[in-house]
Amino acid sequence: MNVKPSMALSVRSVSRRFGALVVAQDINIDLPEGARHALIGPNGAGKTTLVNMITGALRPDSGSIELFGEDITGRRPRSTAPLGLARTFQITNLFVRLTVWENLALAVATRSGADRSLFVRASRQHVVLDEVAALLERVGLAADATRLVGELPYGRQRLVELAMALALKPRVLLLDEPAAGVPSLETGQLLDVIDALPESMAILMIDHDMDLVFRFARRITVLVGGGVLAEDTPDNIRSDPRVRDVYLGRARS
Amino acid sequence: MTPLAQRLRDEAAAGSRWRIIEVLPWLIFIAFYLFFESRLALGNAVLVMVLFTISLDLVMGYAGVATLGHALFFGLGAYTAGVLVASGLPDPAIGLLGGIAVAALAAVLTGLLLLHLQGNTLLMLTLAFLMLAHEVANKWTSVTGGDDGMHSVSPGPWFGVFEFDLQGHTRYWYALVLLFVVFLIARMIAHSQFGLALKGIRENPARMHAIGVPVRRHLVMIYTIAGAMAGVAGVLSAHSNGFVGLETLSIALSANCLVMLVLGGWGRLYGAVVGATVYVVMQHLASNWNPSHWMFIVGASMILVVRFGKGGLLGLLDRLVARFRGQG
Repeated sequence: MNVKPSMALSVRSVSRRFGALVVAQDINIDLPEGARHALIGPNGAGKTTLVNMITGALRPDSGSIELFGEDITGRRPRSTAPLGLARTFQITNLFVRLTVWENLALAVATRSGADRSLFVRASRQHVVLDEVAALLERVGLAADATRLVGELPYGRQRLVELAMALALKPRVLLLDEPAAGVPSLETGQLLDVIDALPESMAILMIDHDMDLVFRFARRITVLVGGGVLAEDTPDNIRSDPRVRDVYLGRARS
Repeated sequence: MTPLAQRLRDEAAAGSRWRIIEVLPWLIFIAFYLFFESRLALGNAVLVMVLFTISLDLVMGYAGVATLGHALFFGLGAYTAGVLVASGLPDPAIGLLGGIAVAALAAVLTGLLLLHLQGNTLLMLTLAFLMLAHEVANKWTSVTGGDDGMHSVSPGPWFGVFEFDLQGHTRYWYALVLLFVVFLIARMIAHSQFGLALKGIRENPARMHAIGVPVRRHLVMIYTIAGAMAGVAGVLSAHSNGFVGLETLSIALSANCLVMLVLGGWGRLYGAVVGATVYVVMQHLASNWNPSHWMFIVGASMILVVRFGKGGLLGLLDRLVARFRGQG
């Protein structure tokens, strides 16, 4: 296999089983810089398992994960976040009793190391606050800055979720069903934000929503039963009869 | 700078700005000294418990660490102060520094051992360390006096000038000054970026991990700071009462402190001030009124506050103010 030198994220021959159940079988995925890659597959195909292995929540039985050539297999976000790996969560996972700006300030402060200062008032750390303001404007949450996250409609919470990941200034971003649970009328703003992400960022999107995936991705990996069924361009995936059989046909029925 | 950035700066500044109402507790503490000179022992007990409860608020109210072992640091501070006086070092400054050092050291060590745990496991293990220390103090009679405790812990004068007088003037000011210093530090931490991170850990530790926060390191840090503060409270108690006993290392002390925190409202510092003050004064009044059944009164009030006052007494006050403003 030819490996390009500047891979942002490489999943190499990763396998994992739970007892007799194989949840990942020799999975290979390569994301060069600027990748717009989607991972699709029916429920139980092993998508979430793979995300958990990439983010270190779960260790693969064999194989490795590399981030810009550095082996990060089994490494926790605390050591991979500074290297530029960030994710969003399928189920919104925020600080619901804090305000929107406080949520983002947590992420910005962590990245910049400002969370270690005990005796400087948070309100004096203008660098953090200004960056939070810029993020809020970028994702269109300026009007909600001072509201509690728990009081926001779900679609807006998804935007906070995305902004939290962006606050870490990632070079590789995992989007785990970014539009899950959002009414289709409200997905537009989310898609616009995703479309406007920096060209150099490598993005892996995991989703069921075919419209979203085909609009976003330049490459698609289809996962079935823990193994890679196909990896190709959206057009070829769309016309691949095997993919139609196991996945697209059912999803469209 | 964008208008939004300005708004965030204003909003954040408004959250940590000193408000006039914050002078009130300190005025009350000073007024108590002026008008209740014969009751300085009670006042001193209030100040010590307020300080102790503030330290618990940092750990439990802000960072969400479930602990029943916080008295460990109080007791270690108290016994260290006692032992230093008994071994010929009566200078209260030495006692204070020694108590802080020992309590902080114990907090670092137990924190490193325990703070990757959560919930009931953590609750039980913090309790276990406290019980261990209690047992050591009970059995090591040559140093601690065992069940009898250490009597005549009489520190020398502060700065060689202020004697610990019988009426308790010195010890009241000693306690008030230390409480104020500890409160200022606690308030700074609460409003810092680190304090916000503690709230984040309390609300959603998994997400804090996911954004790369060294959760355990932050927790050990605040556990140590709060442990040192609890040690200060213990030293104060030893120097003020002239006595150190096993109750400084008791589960009851941890539990009472927790009750005070919940009573006042956790996670806002002033809840600790109000809760500990109300509890200690109520305990004093109720035990004067009916020495054998005062716990019944304390218990009943506690049930009422928890049932009707979500967020403790200050939570209740918040809602009353909100209703009043809503009508006005």
